Amino acid sequence: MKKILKVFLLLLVFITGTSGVFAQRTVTGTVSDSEKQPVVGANVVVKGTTIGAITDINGKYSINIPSPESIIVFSFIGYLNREITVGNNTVIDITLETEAMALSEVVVVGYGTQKKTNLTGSVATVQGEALTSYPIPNAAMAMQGKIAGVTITSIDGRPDATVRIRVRGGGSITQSNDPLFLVDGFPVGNINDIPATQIESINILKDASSAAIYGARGANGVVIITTKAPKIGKMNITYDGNYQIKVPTKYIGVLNPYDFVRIQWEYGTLFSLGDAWALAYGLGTHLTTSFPSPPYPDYSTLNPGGIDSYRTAEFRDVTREAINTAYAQNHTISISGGDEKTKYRISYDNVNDEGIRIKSSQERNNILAKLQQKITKGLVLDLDLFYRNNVVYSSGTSSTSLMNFTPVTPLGDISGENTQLGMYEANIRPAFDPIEIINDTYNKSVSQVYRGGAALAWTVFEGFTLRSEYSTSQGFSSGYIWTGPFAKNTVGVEGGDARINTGKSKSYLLSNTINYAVKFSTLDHQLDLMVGQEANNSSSESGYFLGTRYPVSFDYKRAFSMMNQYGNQTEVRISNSFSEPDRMLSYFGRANYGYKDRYLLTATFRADGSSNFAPNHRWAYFPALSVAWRISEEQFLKDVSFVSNLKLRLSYGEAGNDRISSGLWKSEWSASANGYSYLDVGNLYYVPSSTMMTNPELKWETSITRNVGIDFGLFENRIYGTFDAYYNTTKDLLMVVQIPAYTGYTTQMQNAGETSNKGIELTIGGDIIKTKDLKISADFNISFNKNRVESLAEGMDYYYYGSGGVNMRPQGTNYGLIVGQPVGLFRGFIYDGYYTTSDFDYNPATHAYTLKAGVANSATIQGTVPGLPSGCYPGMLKLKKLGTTNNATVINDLDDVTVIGDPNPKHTGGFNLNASYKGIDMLLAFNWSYGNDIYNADKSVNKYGAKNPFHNFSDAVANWYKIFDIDEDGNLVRVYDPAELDALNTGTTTYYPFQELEVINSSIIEDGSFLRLNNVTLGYTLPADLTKRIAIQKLRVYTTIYNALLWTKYSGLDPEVSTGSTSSTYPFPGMDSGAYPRARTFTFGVNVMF
Amino acid sequence: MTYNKFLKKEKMKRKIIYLGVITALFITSCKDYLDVKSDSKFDSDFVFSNEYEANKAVLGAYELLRGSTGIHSNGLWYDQIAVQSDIECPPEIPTYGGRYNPENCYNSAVQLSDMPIGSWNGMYTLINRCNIIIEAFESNEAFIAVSKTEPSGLTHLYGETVALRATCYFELTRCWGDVIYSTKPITSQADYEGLTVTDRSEIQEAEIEKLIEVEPMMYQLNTGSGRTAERMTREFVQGLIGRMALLRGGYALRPVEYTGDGTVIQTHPEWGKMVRRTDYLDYYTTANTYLKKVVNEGNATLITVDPRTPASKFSNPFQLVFQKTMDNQLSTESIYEVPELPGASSVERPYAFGRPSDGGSTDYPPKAYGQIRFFPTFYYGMYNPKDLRRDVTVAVTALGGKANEKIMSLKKGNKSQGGLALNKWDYCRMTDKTYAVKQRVSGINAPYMRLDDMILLLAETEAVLSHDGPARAELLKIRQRAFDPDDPDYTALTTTYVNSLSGDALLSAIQDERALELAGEGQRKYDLVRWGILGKKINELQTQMGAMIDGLQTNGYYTFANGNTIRKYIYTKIVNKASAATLGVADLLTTSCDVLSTDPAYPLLYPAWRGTFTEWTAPAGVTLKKEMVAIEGLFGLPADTTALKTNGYVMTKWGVDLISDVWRPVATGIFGGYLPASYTAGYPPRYILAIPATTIAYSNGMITNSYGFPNQ
Repeated sequence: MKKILKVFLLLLVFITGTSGVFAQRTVTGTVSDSEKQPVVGANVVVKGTTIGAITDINGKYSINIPSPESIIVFSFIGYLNREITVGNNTVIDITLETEAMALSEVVVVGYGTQKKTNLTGSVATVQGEALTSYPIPNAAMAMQGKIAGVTITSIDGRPDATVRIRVRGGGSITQSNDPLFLVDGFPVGNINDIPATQIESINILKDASSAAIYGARGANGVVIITTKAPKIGKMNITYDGNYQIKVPTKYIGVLNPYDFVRIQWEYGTLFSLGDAWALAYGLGTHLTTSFPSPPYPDYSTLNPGGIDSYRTAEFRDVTREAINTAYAQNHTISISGGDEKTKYRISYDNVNDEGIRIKSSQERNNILAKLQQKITKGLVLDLDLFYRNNVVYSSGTSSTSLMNFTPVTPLGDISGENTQLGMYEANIRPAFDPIEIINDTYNKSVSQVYRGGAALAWTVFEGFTLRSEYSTSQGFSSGYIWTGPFAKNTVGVEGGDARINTGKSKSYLLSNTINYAVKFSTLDHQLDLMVGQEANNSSSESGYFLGTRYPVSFDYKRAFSMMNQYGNQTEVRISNSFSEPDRMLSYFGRANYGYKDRYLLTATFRADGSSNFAPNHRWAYFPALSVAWRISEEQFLKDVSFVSNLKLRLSYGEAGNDRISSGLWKSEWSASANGYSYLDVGNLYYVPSSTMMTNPELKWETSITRNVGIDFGLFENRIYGTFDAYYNTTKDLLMVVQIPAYTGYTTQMQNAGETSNKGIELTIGGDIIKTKDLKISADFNISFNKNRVESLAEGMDYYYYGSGGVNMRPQGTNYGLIVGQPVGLFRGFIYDGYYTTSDFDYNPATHAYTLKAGVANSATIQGTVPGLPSGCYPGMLKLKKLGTTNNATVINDLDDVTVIGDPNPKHTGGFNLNASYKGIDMLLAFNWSYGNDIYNADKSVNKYGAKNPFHNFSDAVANWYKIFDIDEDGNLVRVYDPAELDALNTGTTTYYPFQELEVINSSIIEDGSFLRLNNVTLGYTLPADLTKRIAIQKLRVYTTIYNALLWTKYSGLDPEVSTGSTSSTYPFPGMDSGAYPRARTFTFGVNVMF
Repeated sequence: MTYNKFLKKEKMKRKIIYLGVITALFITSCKDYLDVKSDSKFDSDFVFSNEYEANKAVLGAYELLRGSTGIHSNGLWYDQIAVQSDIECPPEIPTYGGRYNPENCYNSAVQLSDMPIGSWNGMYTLINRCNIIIEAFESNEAFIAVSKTEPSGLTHLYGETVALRATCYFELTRCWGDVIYSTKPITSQADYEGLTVTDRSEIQEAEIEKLIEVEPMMYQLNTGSGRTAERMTREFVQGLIGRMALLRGGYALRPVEYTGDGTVIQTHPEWGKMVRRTDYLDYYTTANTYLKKVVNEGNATLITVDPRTPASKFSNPFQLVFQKTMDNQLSTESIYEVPELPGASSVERPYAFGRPSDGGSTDYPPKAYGQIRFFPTFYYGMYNPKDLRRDVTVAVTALGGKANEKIMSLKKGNKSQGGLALNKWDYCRMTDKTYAVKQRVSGINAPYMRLDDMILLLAETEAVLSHDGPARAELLKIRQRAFDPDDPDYTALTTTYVNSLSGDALLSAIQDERALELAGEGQRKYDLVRWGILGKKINELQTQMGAMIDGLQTNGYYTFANGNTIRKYIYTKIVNKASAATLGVADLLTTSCDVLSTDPAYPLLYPAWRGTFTEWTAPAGVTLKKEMVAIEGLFGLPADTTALKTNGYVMTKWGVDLISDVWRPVATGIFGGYLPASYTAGYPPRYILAIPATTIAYSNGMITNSYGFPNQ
């Protein structure tokens, strides 16, 4: 208390101003930057007064000072403030250091900042400058390839694509592995909507010792985004704008018209629909005589050229029609300025991004405003406001329907009375043209976020600060979906259907913290203490409206604007409901202790209570401890001149995860949509709120992380780097566990199982050349992570689950979790090519092919091939026999399904090369992934018949095994004789795709390793003396190629893909199914500072 | 006190006050802050506080029955119950695996993934929901207070819940045999840890007892608002007691390890044995008691009169039963139908269970796959040609999707291929065509219990209990409705026929009558099981089919014992609406018509209940063909077909498409898992379903399969 009083007294003296009277005098000088260039427009202020000046075009200033004790504060945007006590000087020339360099010394660690040199945990930082040097409207993607241990994957190339961020692999299995995202301290769902240009820094807390302060939700790491803060200085306006041209890089090929018509003729013939197909496409000659009943088609004029005419026929590639070059724009304007008392910064960002797929686009507007006001001495008010409006249009149709559509329209009648082609019309009839369906579908989603916060910081005395913060966020979203009459295939009969989904979300955060930097009489000790309390609430409301069969004359605009004019009373739906609030109450504290700047210790503790658990399981406690030893400060290294920094870090900590739906622990009822329709109207009814069995025993999932790290800097930090090794275990996993169905439920959320992640990360960088004109620097990072399922639910060694439906083999078990193996393994059969005639004994009398002894029978899991005898046949997909327990000769899903791939990479990383010469700057940014497998579902689904003839296949089928030949008259003839089949199939590369079922096998699993030159930027900053004539401080023009080059063996569209369902309980990593292609983007942009 | 000192003191005070306030903020944590509640969720006190809210919880259970159990349409019923008896079959080639495997008594290696897991899971979901509701009622004060000897709003809802649960156990025990039995809500691991399978007799006995308990507490059909055949009523409970008691009193496949009492008629070292418990007559008596109530005291009445005009065209009360469902009405004969909402998706009648159509997803009419087909031995061999039910039940033509009719192909396939199809439902006959031009939205209810079924069950119980007189009386009711009273043979086919029967012949006639009356409605297979004659009937079918194919192959035709003949080829001609009109056929959608074979319109009007509706509302650009098929030679041909050819008739494949191994008793043919050698060896047909793999896997070893089924 005495100490406080002393400090307080001093403060009072200062405030009441008891100093004597001095003669005023003038001080002059020049303000320049580290490159000896004058800083124009810098603020020069006498501290604690209103006396100030601004530097002129040569960086010169002149100021009157009241006393020799006066302190002059020099400040300018983008530079670190400097304070100089005048003393007896009359000329003070100073150099301002750029902020980026300066900031890298300070790291945001949660409820405060810390000097980087004092860090004991594993924290990675990306500075704003690195994010804004090239344009990316999305903060998440801007980090890609820049941080060791952090994997950033966008699910595919669509506008506003979901971006997955994984810190050190992630420990959860069925629950989210997203890190906690904080934007200026406020927890948000994702960071896709933060423009990179508005970011000051991104800090990622990777180990529990740093993340434990967010104990509750820190188990998957914490991503802290700090948006740009206001700066003292005269008003400063910047503009960043760019224009982008986006070019598709790759298409999945489909069969050309000849192959298409021929393979369908073969398939159709097996289906007994060959003649109907021949009629539709004008093939062969025997039809006129054999068509089973009159009227006989007038066949002669239809297609005199027969099937050969399709070799040269004009055709459509619908996949190419749907994907085109597109354009995008991005504009950002920001204004900032202020004085000692009031600082402000406002920025506006606009993104207008047209997707390369037709009818997909995004338009986003962001406004970010910050105000900092000093109320009285020691009392500072921070206000910030964030607004975002995002409009996304998407084209609903899947790639599969694009791929499947015919390249050539049938010439003849396909609904003929004796054909069944009408059944398969969706693949060939113009009324099902997927492009038209896309054009007749309207799918718009609008979302708005309003976020605001106020924080009051009160420095009670030096080193002792109280801070109270209240932030709140409101989100509104609406989805408008219109399915027009063409898309519904009801043109002229009934109009389209309209649906609106609405969502509102509301959350607030109230936090109070006390920071106390304890003063010691000696500089040997340093102790910072922080304690805090926080309350967090979020809740939501969701609703929808549905109307169907609008009048034929209605388009989507009318339907949405006159939604009550629906045509069908019984299908109208309205719904609105409120979620259970998700609340958390927390108390936390941290102590940082340093001894002689060499021995550092951080201890944190957090207690969290979550409303997601029953009262007796609500509270959890998360401790963490980390130590560091700055070896370079020791005497024995002081003399080793090339070592400028060497630090060893060790940490251990626990963090938790409560991210499950609320209300899983108690039984309640809620209203359901109308269903049971007695009296011929849909009736409303009640259902239990949870479809899972409730579990009152639910508790926190806990992650324990252990980290050892070394930070080093050599040759005056010209070469620097960080090495980390970690071992994380996550126990009591919040996992959706299968329970026996006779309980009435199939799943229950339980604390079951354990996973671990082990890994090492290395980041190394260097300033290779650092001269006045030429600068070259490079950095490199690589991460190895080994993920392992340590245990699953009690008594379970594995759990298999599936992404496919009843037409897939293995059914419902093509993914697996296996104890001792990584999460999300692919399961399937082993591909063994196709059966050839040599696998069979042939009976010329009956044309029968009988499998030779010892050749495994793969037919049983492929379903029916209509028209072929049951069992195996030459040309059929062949699989390897692995086991004989269930059946010695027949391939079956008990014996012969095995792990066929692992989506987890062996290592990932990036390297970046920056160079500048005078005004020219250049960036090359690479990122890679090595050793991961991709489940190429597109390849799989376009290689089987599904008992649905006449859909086009991918060009991977092109050289299919032929059991039909075309004779001289252009007729299709079946070939039976083994020698003839062999002769016919000399160029064959793959099985015929006629099987009914989708058989997951090793041929669809591909190596997903890639190296991408993700970003090539070339910029030029015009000489300042030139631009200043038009009142521009800085003018830079640049061009960027995003996704410039890609090296990969992967045959699909792009190896960076993960389209596996996000709504499903179990993870489907590494899946490529109907991905939106990723464009190569050419950008032309400008950065202007006024 | 100096100014500075004063200032210092004041500031200190203020700071201390502020600090105090902030500290208070820290310490004061709202105790209830973490107790959250959504206004969109509520507890069971509210739900069961009154009849109106409790009704909605019960409706939620009904919705599970409709949407999840698969006992009336897709799922268990589609896959197993309704197909592959001695009269019914699926349209496509029985391949290895999938649903075809259990359908054919396992003709290939049994894989647990072949089992209808959705229905298994769905039924247990419903059972648990019922148990939750039952417990909520039983612990509710209002319910406790109310009388249990007469119906009231609350007791009726309670009874409905009991009936829903019993329905599931009825389906589970007849399809899977011994299953897990639970009558208490399962809310935690402790509630299910010890559960294992219970002997089916115990389950059936307990459920019968419970149904008997609630029967008097329930209102009768059509009394009070909303108690229609779309909800379960006292009649349904009575009928269900009858069904369940007959299941309990019937034969069933029991595992090899079964040591209880009973008569064993067939046995196999792995598959198990066909057993009927020795006390079976007790259950026939119980069934008899309650079936009498439903038939004699119930509010459901048999439709015996067809009021449609002109009488010359209709006069088929049997067809009216199904016409009502196609008109979205409840017939007086219905005891319980699973309701479907017109316009809602996945309605399977007529799409899967009705007259096939080659139309597209929207067409005139749209696609109808036709899951239920009939063996030609049933169509030709069992029906008397005068039976009004034959043409209502079996379709020989399909639809083309453009207001046109096509002759059915007897080749395996689907839609217009796949053989003789179920005709009880037909898009063309839906009076309101709004939902008849798009597949699977018809809104046609799924019949689950009808009075004619109950009458025949009652007849059966009387016969088994040796009350031949009452048995004949019940049989006669059904028989009389099935024939035209104006027909000269009417008395011979009804009264005379019925009165000629007694003892085993009477029982056997009742069994056959059930096939004729209820074909395509999911009764036959499990009727044969409980009668202990599934193996015998499969064997008869295989023999008959073999003989028929041989006959067709050798002679070009085959004549059945009743004199009906099937031929390799028939003659057909496409007739458009104008041509039909010249023959006096104005409406291409034909009805019953006792036309003479000499009438020029005969090829269009016979068989009856076919053709096509022509006046569809089709968009511009869609050409409706408005054609039907004239058929000659379905049952016999003139020796000289020259005249037919001259008249534009075309020789059309018919029986020739049956000449294939898939129709013969071979491993890849019909009932490939129960070939004649099995029957001769005295093996039981392995009709039963295996417990699905997931249940086995997650039961921690508590549940295992019998009957030679694998356990993974």
